[in-house]
Amino acid sequence: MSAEPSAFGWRMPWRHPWRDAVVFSAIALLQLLLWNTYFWREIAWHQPEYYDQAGLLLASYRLEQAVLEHGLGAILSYLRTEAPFNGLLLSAQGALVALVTGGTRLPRLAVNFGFALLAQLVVFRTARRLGGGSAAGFAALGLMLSLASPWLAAGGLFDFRHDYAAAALYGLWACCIARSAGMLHRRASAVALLLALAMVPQRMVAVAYLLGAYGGWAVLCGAAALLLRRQPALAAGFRQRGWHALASLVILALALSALLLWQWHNFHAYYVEGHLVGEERLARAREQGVFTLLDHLAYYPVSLARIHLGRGFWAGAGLLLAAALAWRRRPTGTLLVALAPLLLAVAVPLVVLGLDVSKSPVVVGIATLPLVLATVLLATALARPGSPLLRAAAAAVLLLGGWQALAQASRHSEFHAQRANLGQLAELDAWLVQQASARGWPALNISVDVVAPWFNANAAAAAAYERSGQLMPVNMRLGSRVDSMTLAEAEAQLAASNVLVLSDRAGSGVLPFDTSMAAMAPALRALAARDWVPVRQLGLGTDTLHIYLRRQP
Amino acid sequence: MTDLGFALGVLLLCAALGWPLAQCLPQPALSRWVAAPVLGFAALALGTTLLYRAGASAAEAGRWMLALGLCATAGLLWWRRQQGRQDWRPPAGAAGFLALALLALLLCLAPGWLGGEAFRVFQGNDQDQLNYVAFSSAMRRQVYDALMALTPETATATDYLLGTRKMLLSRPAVCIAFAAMAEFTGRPTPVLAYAWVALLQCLQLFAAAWLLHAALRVARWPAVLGAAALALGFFGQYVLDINAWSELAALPLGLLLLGLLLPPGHARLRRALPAFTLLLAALLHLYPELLLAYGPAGGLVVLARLWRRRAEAWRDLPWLLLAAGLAVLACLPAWESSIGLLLRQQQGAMETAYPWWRHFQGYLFGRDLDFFAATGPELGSAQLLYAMVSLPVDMLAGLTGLYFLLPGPGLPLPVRLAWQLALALGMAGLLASAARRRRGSLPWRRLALLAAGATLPALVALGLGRYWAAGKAWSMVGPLAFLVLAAPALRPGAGRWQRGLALAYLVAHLGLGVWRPLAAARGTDGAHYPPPYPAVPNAVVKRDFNWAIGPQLAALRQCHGISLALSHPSLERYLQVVLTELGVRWSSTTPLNSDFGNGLPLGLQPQLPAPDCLVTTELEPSAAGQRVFWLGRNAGLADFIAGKAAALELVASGWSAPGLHAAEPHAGAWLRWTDGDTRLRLPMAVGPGGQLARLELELWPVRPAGAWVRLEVNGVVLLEEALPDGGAWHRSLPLDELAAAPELRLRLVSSVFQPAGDPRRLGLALRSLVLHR
Repeated sequence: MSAEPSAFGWRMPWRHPWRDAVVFSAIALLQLLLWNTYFWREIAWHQPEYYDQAGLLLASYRLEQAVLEHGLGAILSYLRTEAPFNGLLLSAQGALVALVTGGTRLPRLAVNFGFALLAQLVVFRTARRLGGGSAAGFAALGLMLSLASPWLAAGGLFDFRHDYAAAALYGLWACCIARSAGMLHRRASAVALLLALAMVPQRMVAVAYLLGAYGGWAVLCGAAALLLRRQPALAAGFRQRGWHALASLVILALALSALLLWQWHNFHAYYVEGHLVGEERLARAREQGVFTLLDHLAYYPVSLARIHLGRGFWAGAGLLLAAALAWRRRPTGTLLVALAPLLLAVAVPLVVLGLDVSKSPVVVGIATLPLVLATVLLATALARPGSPLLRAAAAAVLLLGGWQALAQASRHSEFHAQRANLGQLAELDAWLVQQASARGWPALNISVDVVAPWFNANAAAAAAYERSGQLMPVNMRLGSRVDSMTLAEAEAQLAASNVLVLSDRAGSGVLPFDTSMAAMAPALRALAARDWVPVRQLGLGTDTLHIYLRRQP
Repeated sequence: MTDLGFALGVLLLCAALGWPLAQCLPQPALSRWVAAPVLGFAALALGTTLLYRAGASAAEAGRWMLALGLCATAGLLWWRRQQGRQDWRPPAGAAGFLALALLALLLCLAPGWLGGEAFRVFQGNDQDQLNYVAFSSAMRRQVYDALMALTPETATATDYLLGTRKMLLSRPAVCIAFAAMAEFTGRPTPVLAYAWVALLQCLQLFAAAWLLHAALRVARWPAVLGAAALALGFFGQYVLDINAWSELAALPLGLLLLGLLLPPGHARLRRALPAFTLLLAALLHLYPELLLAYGPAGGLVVLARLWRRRAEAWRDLPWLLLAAGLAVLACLPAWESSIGLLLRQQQGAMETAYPWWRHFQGYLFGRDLDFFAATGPELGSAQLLYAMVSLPVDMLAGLTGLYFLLPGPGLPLPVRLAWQLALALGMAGLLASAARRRRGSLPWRRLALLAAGATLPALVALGLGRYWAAGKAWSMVGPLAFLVLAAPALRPGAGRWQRGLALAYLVAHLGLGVWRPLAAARGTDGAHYPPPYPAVPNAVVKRDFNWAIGPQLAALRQCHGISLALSHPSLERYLQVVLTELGVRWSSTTPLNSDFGNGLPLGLQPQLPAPDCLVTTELEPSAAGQRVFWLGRNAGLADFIAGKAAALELVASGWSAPGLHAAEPHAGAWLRWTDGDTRLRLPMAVGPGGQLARLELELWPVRPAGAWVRLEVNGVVLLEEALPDGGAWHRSLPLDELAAAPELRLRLVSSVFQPAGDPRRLGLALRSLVLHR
């Protein structure tokens, strides 16, 4: 058995680098146009949705202002003191791009787009090289274009959060692992390790996937070396892979330890209290409709298969594999060596995330690119070399992917249905900042009796900045956390607020906070009538918001 | 003996019908003998269905088929003797095979004997089983046109006549064939039902033995061993236990049909054309849904043969198409109930996500964890990790039929984990050895292709979230998957470890077949296997009611008129069938409904003027002199009413009453919540044991502050007071003033509250409610 992964499968007699570059560039340009159009049509006009995106955008806007005032050194200061522990780099990357290109949200989202293009290029080249021809590369590109994850409102290309960039980096890492013949080659393994180290500050939780994948691969290689001890050449190859994996694991663990020593407090607050203990993890699970043990176990596999991969991917993958099986050859052991680390790279995030009681709809997208690569390599390895069926299937998959991307970009986003409400919210954000300025408040301190995606302080501040260029500090008081609270705690939060928003639907949610608000709704209304001035009412769908400003002394 | 005689009689008739047809199958001669009962059953199902559809009664259809079987066999024997041929004599091994088949039939029947009537009456699906029994009974008594002429206004003799009319448009063949065969015995249909399904289970043995011996060229005894493991093991049992008669009847035919598509040596399909046509036509009448799984499987194999450009395959193709065309022609007289149904079912399965999978496919989720229970704050990563390890093993064990080897919940976690890992290792080895390709094993590879093709529809249904349809499809794929996994033990050339694992797999299934009668004998309340295996639909249905009607048949027959007052629709259906077949006049106090309370309301029957017998599970007063047949499990109540017991405890007993929630264990005793307004009626306050003396009421100290209670007996308020905020509460109330009352009407009213996380409205937490004479 050859240890070289390029020795298996689907060798194409034809390979035209220049033609590939032209086709790839044309597809990339088309994506750029679609991305830009989609942004201006569907995204630019409303406030940034979701807490994570709003927070990261606001941090990036502040950082940009800080750089303009204090110079580039402000970035280091930000990374040292303010950057969120779960992903240090994204806001800084967004600010740097904005400093070069100008603008507010578009350059930040361009970070996602840049990572996406980079991942496409590397996966394309990896598949082309390991698959032995351009068709493999274009099949991989077609599958990537077919993915549903870039177009998801939460966690997609147009959501400024850590996950999309991390998924791209994870895909790059998987490509390096595949090109290193399952970590046989030292140089490619070292590049993979560098990428892994780079991913740690990009998305902290990714380190768990990487440690799991390295550890799992080291164990598998050790077991394979043991089982194949009567075939010295093979056993030596596995031993070498195992040592490389182990060394990578140790270096990564050391880097993580250093980071944890530096940021232990933040790590504990975010991951231990937020995910391992505390009531928030259960509330997050229920919010996603996860109640039973089976719900917990099925959540991420189903999320990956249905939400992130989508029907387009499955159709393309099915087509490729059916074509490969229709004119197949006997797969060799090399197939397993090439595929096993990729499959580990898919399985480990599913396991790690599945062990967390808290559930999130965006995080499992990290497994998509290794799965794309694994699918193409599997088809390559199963098919008879030079199979015209497979070549035709690759072309069909590319067409399907292009069609999918065009179809997705040509549809309204889910925000379009709420266009009227979101427009009102954007206007409200600007109005609140204006009121704060007029009253000489140094900051907007807002209390809300619901935890709802449509209203949070960071979104308001970010939206106001995007429209006015004025960066007013906005703090969320009541409504910033999902856990339960007493009336005394609520009153304390209100005492520190200057804006109060009461919703007619307060208390109707499933979070502990909602239960608390349901119980204290009459008391809050009485407080509002006594100490606050009603200034506006806003109809949002079936809900009505009552906006109060603090009574001036 | 009734069971055995009936099953053997039908088997002999099937053999007689099938033996002439089996002559068109390829050699060896033994395989023709083995296939004869399956082919004969196909002929029986097809023949009786078409005759019945043409206007014959079930009895006439049965007689025609008997005559046909006898004539065909005798004619063939005479002709061969005239020709001087000797191949009509039983081949070598036939006696041994028949002895083993008889043993298998005994093992199929034994659970019915050892488990008693509560086991026999139904297993995991009471409504389907009682539908099949009731429809068979109706078809036995009425001809096609009479049933089809029924309307909701005229179908009020029983609650199942309208359902029977509907069944005539939904693959009625298994019922018609059963009705025709039951007519030979003169015994009631419900009495024969278990023997019928046991026979259907046993037919899989014949089909699988033919598949292994004739199509896959397995040696005689290994083939019989494999076939017995399939028929008696998990897959044979499961289909019986979900009471899917049609599927059970069709599976042997399907296996034989697919076997004909495997390369049978040098023989060609053209020769087996009559058998192929008959099997396909019978399948379309018995259970056309099977073709949703076996159709793609057969199609893949045909494509694979054509792909290899086998001249033989190309020559067979027109004959295959001809056979399919003839089978479709045989469906023309009953299009709606065969191919029409196939189309409707396919559409229904894809469009509707039925929630039944949690019961019927519960076995895929292991025995030690409840994957469907709501999780609480105690859930942590460690539990999730174990569940993550457990679920794939559970699923794989369920899919391969090794569910019963999974650890139960009583074991410590490390033991369960080690057990699961060992089982996973074994199953991985089994799968790996089954996946190994061997030179010259083309039929086995085709068998694997059949299994893969049959799995495709299950995967599609799974992908669409139609879990019930996917699980049902797997019950059809299961026998093929079983044969693929057992292959290393049956085919030559497997390694020692591979053969050992596959042999262990076979033995495990065979062991389950031997265990089944013992499990039925050991089981309580007629449930042979514990949940989540679908042995009974729910715990209440067999626990709370007495299904053993057999010992009371003679007494029931003596009644001039019977009033039915039954609280469970399945029990009501069962009694209606039994009483109708006994020829006793009866009427039900419950309004009739065509589908167990969920179908078309048919109204209240005209009540018999003076029924002398009452069959009941209700606390209803009976008229003076009425003979009461008590079908509740709560013997205490029956004894109290009859005056045999001096006291009656009502909290822990299993009966239901308006406003009373089910009993639940609490602090080592029982607790029963009221809903704030509970009403009880007891017949004969003054019974044979003397008048009622007092009532004792005790409450658990579980209630909100400010609770109160009022107790009325026969409209008189005996008690009305506020309850203390905590502590136990007990009252003993004299009932002397009720001496002359013909019945006891007890009403317990109280304050109510709505606890968090509990959808029920709760009133009082009863600890005991005792009536004393």
